[in-house]
Amino acid sequence: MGSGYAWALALVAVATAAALGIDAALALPDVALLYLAAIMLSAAWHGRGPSTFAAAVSVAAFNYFLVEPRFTFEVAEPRYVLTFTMMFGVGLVISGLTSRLRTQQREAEAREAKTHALYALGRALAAASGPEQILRVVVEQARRAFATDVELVEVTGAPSLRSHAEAIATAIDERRVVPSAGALVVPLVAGDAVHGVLVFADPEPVRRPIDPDFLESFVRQGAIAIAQGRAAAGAAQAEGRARAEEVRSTLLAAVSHDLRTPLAVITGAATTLQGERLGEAQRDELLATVADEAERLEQMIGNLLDMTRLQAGGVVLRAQWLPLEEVVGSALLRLERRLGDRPVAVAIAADLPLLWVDPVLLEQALVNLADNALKYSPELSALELRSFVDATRGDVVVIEVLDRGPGLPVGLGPRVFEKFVRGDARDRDGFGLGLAICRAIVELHGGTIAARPREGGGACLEITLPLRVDQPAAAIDAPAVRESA
Amino acid sequence: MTGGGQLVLLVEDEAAMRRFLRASLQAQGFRLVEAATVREALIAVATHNPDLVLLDLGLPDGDGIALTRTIREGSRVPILVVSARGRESDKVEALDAGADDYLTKPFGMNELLARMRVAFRHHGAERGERAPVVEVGELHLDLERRQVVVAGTEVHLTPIEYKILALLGRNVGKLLTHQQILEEVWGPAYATHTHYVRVHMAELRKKIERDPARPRILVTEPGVGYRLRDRDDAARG
Repeated sequence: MGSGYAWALALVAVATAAALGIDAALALPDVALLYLAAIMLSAAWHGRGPSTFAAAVSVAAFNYFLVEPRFTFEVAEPRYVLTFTMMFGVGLVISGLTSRLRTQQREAEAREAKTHALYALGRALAAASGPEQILRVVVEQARRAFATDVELVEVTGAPSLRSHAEAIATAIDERRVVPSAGALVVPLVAGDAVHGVLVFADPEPVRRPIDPDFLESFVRQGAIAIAQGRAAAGAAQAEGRARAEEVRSTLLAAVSHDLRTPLAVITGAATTLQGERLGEAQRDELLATVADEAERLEQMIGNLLDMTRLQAGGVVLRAQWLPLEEVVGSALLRLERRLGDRPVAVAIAADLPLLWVDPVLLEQALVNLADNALKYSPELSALELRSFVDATRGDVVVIEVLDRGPGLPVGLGPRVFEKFVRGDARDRDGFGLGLAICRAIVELHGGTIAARPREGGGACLEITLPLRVDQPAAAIDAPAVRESA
Repeated sequence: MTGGGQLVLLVEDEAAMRRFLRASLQAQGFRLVEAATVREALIAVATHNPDLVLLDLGLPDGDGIALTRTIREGSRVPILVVSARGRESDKVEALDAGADDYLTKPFGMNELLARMRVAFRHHGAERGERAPVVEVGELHLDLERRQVVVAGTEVHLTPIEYKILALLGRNVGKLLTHQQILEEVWGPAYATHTHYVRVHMAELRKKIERDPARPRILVTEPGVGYRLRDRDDAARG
């Protein structure tokens, strides 16, 4: 601050030198304006004190160097007393106005910096996810905003081991800012809880004090974000736990009931066959029952295993280029017994390109979709499958499986693709995994799956797969093929 | 009764599976040697010279695929591998290593017997008892006259299509991997171009199958290969 006065002295010296230089050409009152300029600059650069000082020095210099008799402080003519007074007075006014402007500008700048810091904090917090990251953001932004070192102390930590332990304990207990040796201890309070304590290094508390209002708004914003982050994480965890619990209990119910039913039938039939003397027809009936129930059991266990594998990420996509016809053909073959005499209509667009898919997985998905359609539509109603390229949706391959069943279960919506969700609670042919497996397979291929009501009644389950443009070279082996036999 | 006293080597570590297969195969008139490990299996192949090996790929002490390769080094005995669903790559490896066919657990007895019949027949055919005409469903394939007739009408195939059909026809009922078909029809240089086979197969089906969308003669084993269905198979299906 002392340099302000030195500067004031220097400015007055420059004004005096200039005045002496041009003194010959100008009248004395005009020269006095040079001193006003020096006072103004001093006020603008260094504030009120130095500029008041500059005003006093200016009057003295003016008197000594320029007013006759020169080089004395004597005043020959009384009118100069008025000049001196006016000069000093104007100097004071200028000094006051200019330094006020300066202060206002400083304040505006400081306000802007604070606003900016709060805005930066808000933006950084919006991008952060999870309580850990939010805490890190608050600390980082605090360091930047207050240009000092900031340390985070977890409330759950062992405070006795740290420096400022007492101040930290007080800050937590009393929920207020507590000064400590060379530091400011600030609790992050939101709602009823303290979410941590920030320790601001405060090396110059007197000369560059931390603005308490700014500190409060900064810390409040941070604390609220931390509280919200923790609450959200807690809710997500609770929801995850609840869902896992639901899945587990469904699975348990499924295993205990659905798996036991076919086993009970098999055991019953097998023991009957062992012990009783049966007629040919009864024997065949029991044997057919055993075979059917065993197949059902196999299908259920297969689904459970598929789902587990797909979920555990243990399935590697073995994609190959292949025509959809082939997968549809093998899927229908696998369903041959279930299809029985049902009419099947397959319409695959003639220009459908080769697909880059895993044949085993896609077949499974189609079998599950078709199985679902068969399960929920009247016997002997047709099963339909359509496939085409939809350019309006950014070139995707659409595969639709359509039935004339009762349509989609009311109120389930996209939940039909969730695990253990069954369209009909009486359905005992599975765990409600078929469509969930479909979805997992389709998503593994980067595709989507959706269900919608079909025009004229029934359901349409639709797979879309991304269309790969890098189709392999035509599978034609040179001239041999063109010359038809 | 299917078996005519042929000796079957059953390589399976599960006692329950062995029990069921023993009872069923013996009832069908087969004789049986059992092995629970790769080691026992190798000894049994050397000492008993079985007519067919039924091999479970999930053995505790080793690799069924390596065992297949080892057996193939010294013997043409038919090998049927048994493995679980979802292990298609194992099946392909076993077939490419020289296994004749595979069965997916769980399988029915008539499925097993049908596969065994096919394997025995091909083993016989390799010794010069090859049938020149293959009849499956509506398909009549004359390998000597290179003639293809479907439901009484002659069908014209491109050379590649005929080559594929003839290959499957010579191996009727047997599963051929994409690899095996590519190597036979296009040559070893094309072994990775599986989509060649798939595209021509689709064309072939349009000419041979009554409903190409639901093939019943040229069937796909997803992720593994193709099979020209055996007469019994096609009738059953």
